[in-house]
Order: sequence, then structure tokens, then C-alpha cells
Amino acid sequence: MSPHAASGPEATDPSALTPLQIGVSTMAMIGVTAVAGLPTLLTAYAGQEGWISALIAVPAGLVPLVLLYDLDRRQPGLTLVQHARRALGPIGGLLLSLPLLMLLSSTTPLGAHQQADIVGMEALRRTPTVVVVGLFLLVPLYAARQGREVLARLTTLSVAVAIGALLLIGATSLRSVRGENLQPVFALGWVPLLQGAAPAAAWYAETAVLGLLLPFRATERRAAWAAAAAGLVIVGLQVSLVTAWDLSIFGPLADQMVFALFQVTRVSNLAEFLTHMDSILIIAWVAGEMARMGLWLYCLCLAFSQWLGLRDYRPLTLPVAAAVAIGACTWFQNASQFNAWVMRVWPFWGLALGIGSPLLVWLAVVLRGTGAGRRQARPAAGSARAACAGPGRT
Amino acid sequence: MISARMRRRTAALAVLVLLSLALSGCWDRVELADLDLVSGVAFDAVPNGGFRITASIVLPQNLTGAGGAGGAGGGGGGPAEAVVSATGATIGEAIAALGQGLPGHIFWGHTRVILIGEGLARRGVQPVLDFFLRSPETRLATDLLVVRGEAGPLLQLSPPFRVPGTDVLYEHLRRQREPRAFIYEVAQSIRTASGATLIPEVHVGPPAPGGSPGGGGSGGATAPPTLVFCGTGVLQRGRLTGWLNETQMRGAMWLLGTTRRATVELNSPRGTVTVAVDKVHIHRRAVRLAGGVPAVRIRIAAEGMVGEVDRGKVPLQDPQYLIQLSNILAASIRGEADAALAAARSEDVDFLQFGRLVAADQPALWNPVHSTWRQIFPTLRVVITVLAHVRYVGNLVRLS
Amino acid sequence: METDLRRAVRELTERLHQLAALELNALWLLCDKLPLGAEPGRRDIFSVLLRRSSDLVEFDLPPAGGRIAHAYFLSSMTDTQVLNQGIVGGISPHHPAGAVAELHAPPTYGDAIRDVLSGCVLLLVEGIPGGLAVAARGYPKRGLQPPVLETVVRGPHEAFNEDLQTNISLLRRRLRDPRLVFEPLTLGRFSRTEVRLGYVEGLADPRIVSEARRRLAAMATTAAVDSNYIEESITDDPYTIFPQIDFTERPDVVVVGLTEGRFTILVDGANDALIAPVTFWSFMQAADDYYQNYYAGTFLRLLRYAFLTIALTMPALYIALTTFHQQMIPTSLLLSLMRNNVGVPFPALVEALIMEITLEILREAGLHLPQKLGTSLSVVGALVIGEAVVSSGLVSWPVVAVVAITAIANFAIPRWTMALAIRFLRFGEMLAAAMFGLPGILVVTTAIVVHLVDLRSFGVPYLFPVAPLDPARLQDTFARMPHWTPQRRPRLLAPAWRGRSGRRARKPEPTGAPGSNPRSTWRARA
Repeated sequence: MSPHAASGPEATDPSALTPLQIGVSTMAMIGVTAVAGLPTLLTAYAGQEGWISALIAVPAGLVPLVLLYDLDRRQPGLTLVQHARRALGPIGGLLLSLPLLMLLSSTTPLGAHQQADIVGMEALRRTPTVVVVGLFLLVPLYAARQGREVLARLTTLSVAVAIGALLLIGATSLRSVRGENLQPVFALGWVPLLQGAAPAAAWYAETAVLGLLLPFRATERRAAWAAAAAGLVIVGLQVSLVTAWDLSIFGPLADQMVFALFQVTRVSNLAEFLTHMDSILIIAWVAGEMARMGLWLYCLCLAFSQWLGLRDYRPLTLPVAAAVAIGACTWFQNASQFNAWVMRVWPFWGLALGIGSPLLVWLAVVLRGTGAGRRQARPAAGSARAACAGPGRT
Repeated sequence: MISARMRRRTAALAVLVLLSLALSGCWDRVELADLDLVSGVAFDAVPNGGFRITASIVLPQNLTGAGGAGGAGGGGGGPAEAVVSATGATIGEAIAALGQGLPGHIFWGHTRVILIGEGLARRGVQPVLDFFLRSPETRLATDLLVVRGEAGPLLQLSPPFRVPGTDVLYEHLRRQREPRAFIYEVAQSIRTASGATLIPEVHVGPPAPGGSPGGGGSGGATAPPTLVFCGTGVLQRGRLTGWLNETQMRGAMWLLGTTRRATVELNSPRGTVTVAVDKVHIHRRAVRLAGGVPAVRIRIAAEGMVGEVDRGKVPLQDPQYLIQLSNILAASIRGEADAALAAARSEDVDFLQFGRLVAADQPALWNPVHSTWRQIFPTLRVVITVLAHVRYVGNLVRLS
Repeated sequence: METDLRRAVRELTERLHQLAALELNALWLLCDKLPLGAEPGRRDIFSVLLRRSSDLVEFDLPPAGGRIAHAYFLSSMTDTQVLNQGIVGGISPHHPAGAVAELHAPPTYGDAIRDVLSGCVLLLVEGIPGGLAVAARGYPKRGLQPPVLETVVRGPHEAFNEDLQTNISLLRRRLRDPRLVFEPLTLGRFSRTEVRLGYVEGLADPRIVSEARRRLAAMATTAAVDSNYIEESITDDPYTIFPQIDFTERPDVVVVGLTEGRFTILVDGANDALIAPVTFWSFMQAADDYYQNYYAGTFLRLLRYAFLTIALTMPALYIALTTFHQQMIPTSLLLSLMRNNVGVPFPALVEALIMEITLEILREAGLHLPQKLGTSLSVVGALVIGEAVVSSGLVSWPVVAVVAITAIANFAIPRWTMALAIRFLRFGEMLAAAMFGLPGILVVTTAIVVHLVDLRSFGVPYLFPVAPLDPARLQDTFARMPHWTPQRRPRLLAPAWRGRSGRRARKPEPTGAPGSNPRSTWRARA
């Protein structure tokens, strides 16, 4: 038990996350929506080289991780919000963690909206949006209330199911892949590549949110962060692969396909018998999305509760989920508005908040010296390992 | 851990929500009985810019199958499909009109064949593609066929077997027909560098004497009307611009690299031999010539086996003769390819996808010419190399 | 103090027939407090308190050593042979009573009475304080019979019966280790059921055992008639539908559980044993897996997971696919479904529910029907309902097929308690499918998974070692590993423990003695 954990609002939930759980949580939190939404954006900007953009944006996601790592080194076991409070006191901390809260409270309804869009279009066209949104918030709400341990376990299973289903779709659509659709490579120059990388970078920079999960690590710091970084890299590869797959099947049509991954299921076929494989993708999608939504909801409620100085985040879950549902239903009036927002505003919004929120806190901590943290860390080289154990059981 | 009270309250809430959903839910439910399954559809142009849709709708009660004891009346003797037709200014309007005459919900999820009449194809297939790509229930790998003349009547032909007529079309396409054109591929071609593609062509042959091409109610004993598959239509940016005959089509497939197998009839000096080509390897590449001019190099390697000897005394035991035969095969393939190339040049349509090839292999050369490609294309240098081998004679050397 | 007690007891006893319920309870409480001394009136108390039991036998033994002894026993609970040879004869100087059976001295009146009720012979010797309870239990019990629920092709065919001592001896015979302990407990305020908490010291995690002890001590029940009375009172999550404690009627299964560091609870009068902690996966393991070739065992186990999926989701999938996602059904199959569906007036959900409920009726009726009527029931079930329901156009053939396959798949789940849970949840899946199609099924399934992931059995996560993932301990979850693989016990069961069954002799080393069995050589060395 680190001394900080006991004093924190999270004293009620002592569970800790293994590196694997951190890795899959990273994959679920960033990867699920990225795989569905990013390919279209990437190809819209970078054409047949969108898959490269997906890869070159990965470092943007590493920046928040590096900052969080250093913060944890200075003062282990604190969430980003707690760091902010500790550095600038209740009022200053309130302001300092505002970017993170903005990121959380914009991305969570965004994800809910995107999911309702996809499921509403592919499977439940006549069902009212409110119902679809609500349906897909019920289980995440339930899971988020059970705490991060349950979420992490659910995520492990969901990510496995989702990846399996993705591979199955890949295998069944292999016949439609045309390699020449990806040619030529590196013919467009850097500008479109970087343009395409911007929305991807915004997506990856969501790793800032891990500032609410990473402190609850069961192992030493290095392993936890390596797992998060590995999760991010896997997401990058996954997005790149899916983009390349879309491109090689749809060629010049890829950037016009809404949620291109779903369109792949419409060409996939298993021995000319099972021809419409969207069921498989719906399985992958819903499985991943439930876990993702649960994690985001958990982080959002945890951040708010710590921001407000509450002891427990659970009382917040229901009102927050309701707010997310309302946000998801009312934010965008139509698909193009959503698309335009994601293409034009999101790259700046997501990138600024994703990198900005840990950066500001980090700056505050460094500038204020956050007294004890720095001084403790130095002489306690030996005891640092003990502190590394983090909150909760190891 | 959550307190029991909270847990109970959450559970009660969940139950309430679920119950309210159950009471008012099921928005998207369509029962099987309410399904009007469109197995095939034909689109034709009507003079004032509108569409006529002819759809064949499966009548499940008339389908035959194993265990026919189920259901009402025991698999009656009527046709397996009902063909309905409606017109409208737009496709949506035509479908709405179609729906008024039908009891259930028109369902496109199992449409396997889309036929386009010549008139509409010349006007442009874009609206059809748009409809099928946009709707989530359709398959993107649905076959598109272009019909010489009107497409609608073709669906009315009732096949000699009690299976849906579109099944015959689909199975033929699936097993025997190459090239196939899927809607997403055709849609893609509109946006590619070349902008052209090929669509298999089908038309109704002259009805056999005594046949009844329409309806097909009790015509059990009459000879069926024939469906003729030959050649392809050429689409340039979604519009039909011309036709390829059988030879040109085969040549186009050699040049496109889509040939998997072929049966070629060869007239050798000693007799006529049919060779079944079953190993094909085609390599296409755009190269840069001196002076920064793009050119296309196509290597066709084909291996085959003697399939039958039609006329003459053919010395198949003679190794020299097989080499001679190989050369004739190469010349024949080359001739088909040349015919296709000539057609492409004379019609000035890049259905051989050379533009796409140049763009992919030589992007630096493509950028300056892509706007004027149609002027450059007819004079593009195309080097075709054919390597053919007749390796086997089958299980019989010679009969006569 | 003691005299006050004695007086109170005597007064109450004298008015025994007029006592109110409250006073009666007080009397028994006082009896529990009152030490069994040498006082002269004690005979009266026993006679009066036990007299209403018509099977009470009370007699005086021939005086030995100048003292008269009084014996009390219940004829229904005592083995008269033991009694005659051991006690009546045993009091004579040639046969010391101690040689016969277990003896103990009940400290209080209450204990003494309970001893009599549990089949002891109570001996009170005049003038000597205290008494002697001689265990001469003998009551009707079944002989050993093969298991009913958990049958195997190969492997032992012995099952527990309702007698605690027999059950313990079945276990002891298979596990002759001094570290196997059975802690005695008595549960049930009225039933006073004998319960044993069994575990292997050094294998079982002491924290888990003490937690079990704590829960058993804390539970309150009037009568522990069967093991389930105890199971329900000591589970981690009292509201879940999933079993958190396994039960088995096979001693070999219990022995394996004990060697894996689990504990067992044996209940007198229950013909099964409880095993805990358990995980979800152990409910999918059949004893048969371990008694046949491990490839076959693995294959069957994997198949069983497929059956589980079928049992849970197949009717729901049928509803979802036929009413929401018809495009996903292969064309030829859809056409066949449509052909079969012609003329059926109900929505798919109602069709499936009709069939499911019909099947539940059959199942339930089959359970409660006298065995002799079983065949007629199956005729009614199979022919009349199956055929009639379809030909009358109520339900289409595919639905009958789907529901039948589901029912059979449900039977293939090896553990009854799990099968029951799945059977129940299937209806939830069907409703969700009817409302939202596939997304609905997935939402419900995910909710179930969240619940499973949240469950624990005596602190062990229910889905361990899959979630939380522990790849090293996955070995016996989906596959059935050969018995010679070095096995590792679930870490959460006992952190300090290393390996269970040692290693296998990879290649038996040749030994000098020709014709000797190399395997036995290895055994001897190991």
C-alpha cells in the first residue's frame, strides 16, 4: 500500500491492473473507434497512402505517455487529476484538470454517438437513436460501476473476441484484395501524409486518459508503461492494416465509404455460402465498444469525482451516463455534421487536449517542484521500488 | 463493493428500462412471412429520363426442396418467382411504386443478379450503383450484367427447372462466366485513372419454336427460350459506350490478367486441335521509355493440354509438332489480345486499365499526362509477349 | 448457580405437557447449560424429556461392581447387534465396553439428549457423576450405488450415498494422507446435521479454509436437509444465478478437487459433496475427460463449449437472423426457411417461445412423472407435440429443430447447476434478440460476461485463469492436459504452492533386469 492511495478518493477500490490489462485497456480505449472511424478520414486526406499516415501518427500518442511516466516517477500512485490538485491546490487543480475533463466529456459522447450511428445504420435503422444509445450504455454503466478490475477483465475478453472477429473478416475478404490499389507508394509527398496523420494523432493522443488508469498498476512502473505503449503501437498497426485493407478492396472508392470497415463485410464471403458477414463485425464491434465505453465512462466519472473531491465515483455513474446519452443524441444533427466535425475540428481539439492536459499538469508539477515529491524521490532510490508497487494489492 | 440497496435499485431500473423497451420495441423486426425477397432485378430506361424496375420476387410456397411436407398445401405447382415491374422518375420512386403492388417488405439483401438494359446503360448506371452501394442490406459483390435491348423481359423467362430464374443466371455466372463485374468494382472504375470497365453481356436468344417466353405458367413441355451470354459491354465512367465480341473479350481478359483458364481452338496445318489452357501467368507492368514516355509491357505465359482433336490426322506423338502447336497457341492468344487492343484504341476507351497501371507503376510519368490521357492512350506503346506451351496431350495420343 | 439451574429444569420438566413454546425453548437452553452430574433426579429428567419419542428404550443393566446402570437409546437409531454384543455383553467383566466403539462423556444434559437422538446409547451409572455415550449408530441407509447424474464410461462407478461416515470412508480410501482433515461441524438449529469441512492441509489455502469456516459458522438455518441448504447460505454473491460452489456425487471428483487445494463440505443426509472454490471452467469439465485419452478429452471439452454457446444463444440467433438480419443467412438456407414458414401465423419469437415452453413442460413433467409412465411421455412428447405442432401450423419445422438442438446441447453441459443457469438465461437472450436482433444478443451476452467477471467463489475470480488472464495456468481450462504434464494449481488457490503431480518419466530408462517393467522401476525410484 502506498501512502497516497489510502488518502485518495479511490481508497474504496484497491484493485490494481496487470500489464496485460493495461495493454488491452489502451487498445480498447483508443482502438475500437479508431478502427471504425479513422480509415475513411485517413484516405480522405492521404489517399492510397492513408495506411502510412496511420503509422506516422503513433508518436503523438507516446507524448502523453512520456509525460505521465515522468509524473508517476515524481509522485507515484496519483491520477492526473490528483497530480493537478496536489500541484496547485483545490482551485488551481480544478482549472488545471479542466482540459482532461473536456477531453473526456467530449470523447465519451462522441464515441457513443459514433456507435449509435454505426449500429443504427447497419442493423437497427428504424429504432430510435435514443434507444440505441441507451442500449449500448446500459452494460458499460453496469461494468463501470463494478470498478476497474471488472472492466479490465471484461476488456481482456472483449479485445480477444474483437481481434478474432477482425481476423475472420480479413480472411473472408482476402479474395477481394487487389494489391495494385495500394500503388504507388510514397507518390503524394509529405503534405497529404501529415494531413492524414493529424486526425490519427488526435485519436492516439487520447492516451492522456490513461492518466486515470495507469497509476493503479500492479507491477513496477516500467512494465505498466511498456504495456500501454505496446497497446498504442498495436492500435497504430491495426488502424494501418485496416486502412490498407479497405484501400486494397475499394481502391479509389475507399474515401467515399462511410465506415469502410463495415463495407468490407459486404464483399467478404465464406465459400460463397456465408456471404454477408456483418454479423461477425457486429460481434467484434459491440464486444469492443462495450469495454471501451465502460472504460471511458469509468475514467470520466473517476475524474469528475476526484475533481469534485468526492470519496467515491459510483454515485456519479448514472447521471454521467445519462448526460453522455443526451450528448450523444443531440450533439450532431446529421452524419455530415459529424463527419465535418471529426475531419476539421477533431484533429486540433483532440490533439490539443490530449497532449495539453498532461503537459500542463506536468509543467505545474515541475515548476512548483511539488515539494515532497521531488525530494522524496531522490533519497528514496531504494524505497522507490516499494512505492512502485502502487496502490492496492500487488 | 456496491451496497445491496444500490444494487437492487440499479437492477430495478434496468428491468424498468428493458420492460419499457419490450413493450414498445421491435422497430426493425421483419418476419420471414412479410419478406418479399428480390432474387434478381432489372433496370431499364424509360423515355422521359425515368426508370423501369422489373424484379423477380421469390414465392416461397412454390419452391421445391427436400421435406416438402411442411407448409400449407405442400409445395404447389406454380412458378417459383413472381415478376413484377414498375416505373418511376427515380429509382426510389419506382421502388415505391413496386412496393404498392406487393404485400410485404421489399428486401434486397439476397439480390444476386442486377441486369441493366442497354438504354439505361448508355444513359449511365450511376443511379443503380448509388442505390445498391448506399443501402446497408445489399451485398457489394453482386453481379452486374448488361442486356442487349430491354432487360426486363429477360427476368420473365421461366427456366425449365423449378428453381428461381435468377438462380440459373447466378449459377451460370458463378461457375462459367469470366469476367464478372461486381457492383463495387464497377463503381470503383468510375473513379479510377482509366475510368472504364467491362460488364458481361447477356441477351435473349430467339425463342425455340412453340416456346412461351412470357409468363411461363403451364409451359412444362415447351422448349425453353435461350439465354445467350457473349461478349461484354464497355463502360466508360459509368456509361455504356460499346460492345466487345467474344474474341475481343477474351483478348481483353488476357491483357487484363484476369484469365484463369481458356479453351482455344487452333487450326494447325495438319488439322484442328482444341487446347485447354489451364495454367496462366500474366504480368503487367508500365515502364518508362527514353524521353519520359510511358509504355506498357504485358507478358502472358500460358500452358495447356490438348483437349480434343477435331479434324485431320494430327501427329501428337511428334515433339516438334507440339512445339509448332505451342507457337500457334501463342499466335492465337496474341491475335485475341491484338483484337482487344485494337478495339480499345479505336473506341478510345481504356478498359484495359493501362492508365491505372501507369499511375501505379510510374506515378511520376502519370501526373503530367493524367488529364490528357484519352489523347495519349491510343498511341501508347504496348508490348505484348506471349509464351505458350502445349505440354500434355491428355490420356490419348491419337485415334486415327 | 447450578442448583438454581437444576431446580428450574426440574420444574419445567414436571410441567412439560403444559409448557408454552417460549418456555419449551428456555428448557432446552437450560438443558444445554446444566452439567450432567451425579444428582439423584437425573433419571427422571431424561425419562420425561425423551418419553414422547415412542422409539425410546430405557432399561437397567445388571448391576456390575455393585452399581446399577441405566441405559437409554432410540431403537430407530441404534444398531441392536452392537448394542447386544458390545454394551449389554460388554459390561460383563470379560468384554470391556471400550473395545466396541467410540465413547465420550456428554458434559451437559442437552448434549446427552442429543447424543441419544443421534444414535448413541447413554449410560448413566448411579452415583457416578456424568454419563457415558456409546456410539452404536445403526439406521437404515443405502448401499453404494453408481452415480445417477455424473455417469462415466470408464472410471469408478461409486457414488456418495446419504450416510456421512460412508462418504468419508469413500474419500479416505482414495486419499490416505494424514494431512486430509475433516473438521466436524453441526449445522441446523433443529436438524443438528453433521457436517464435515474437508481439505488437505498444506494444499488448501488456509485463508480460504478459514473463510469457509467463518461462513459456515455464521450461517443460520433451521434444518440443513440437503447440501444446497448450506451452499446457498455461504456463497459469495447471494443473488447470482450461476453456481459458485460445485456439487458432485463422485468421490473421485472430490479427491481431485482436494488435491487441487479446494475444500469439500460433506453433509449428513445429502448424497453429494460440495466443492469450492470453483471457477466457471470447472463446470464444463466432466469426470470422463480424465478417464479417457487426452486428445479425446480435449476434443470433447472444446465441443462442450460449443454446446454451451448453442444452448445459450441458438434460439436467440435464429430469431435475430430471421427477423432482423435476413441478409446474413445464406440464400439457399433462407429460401428453405421461408418455404417452411409459409402459413405460420406467429412471429418468430412467439414460435420459439411456444416450442421452448412446450419443451420445458415435457422436461418438468418427465421429472415428476412416475418412472413407469416415462415411455408414454416420450411418445406424447416426440410424436404428438413435435409433429402436431408443426402440422397444425403453429410452429415451423426449423424452429422445432433449433429448439430441439438447443435442448440437447443443454443436456450436454456436464454440471446440472450450470445447465440450469444457461437454460434460464436463454430466455433473456431470446427476448433481447426479438427486440434488437444481434446487437441485443451481444448486449445481453456482454452483461452476462460482466457479471461473470465480477463473480468470485471464495475470493477466486470466477473466470480465472482467463480473466484475469494467467496463460501459464490455462492448461486445464480448454484442453485436457495429459496426466504426466507437470501441473500447476491455480495460483489464487494457494500462492506458496509449487507443483501438483511431479513429472513424468519421459522415456523410461532401461534397467538391468530383463523383463522388468520400466515404469514400475521409475515409480520405485521416484
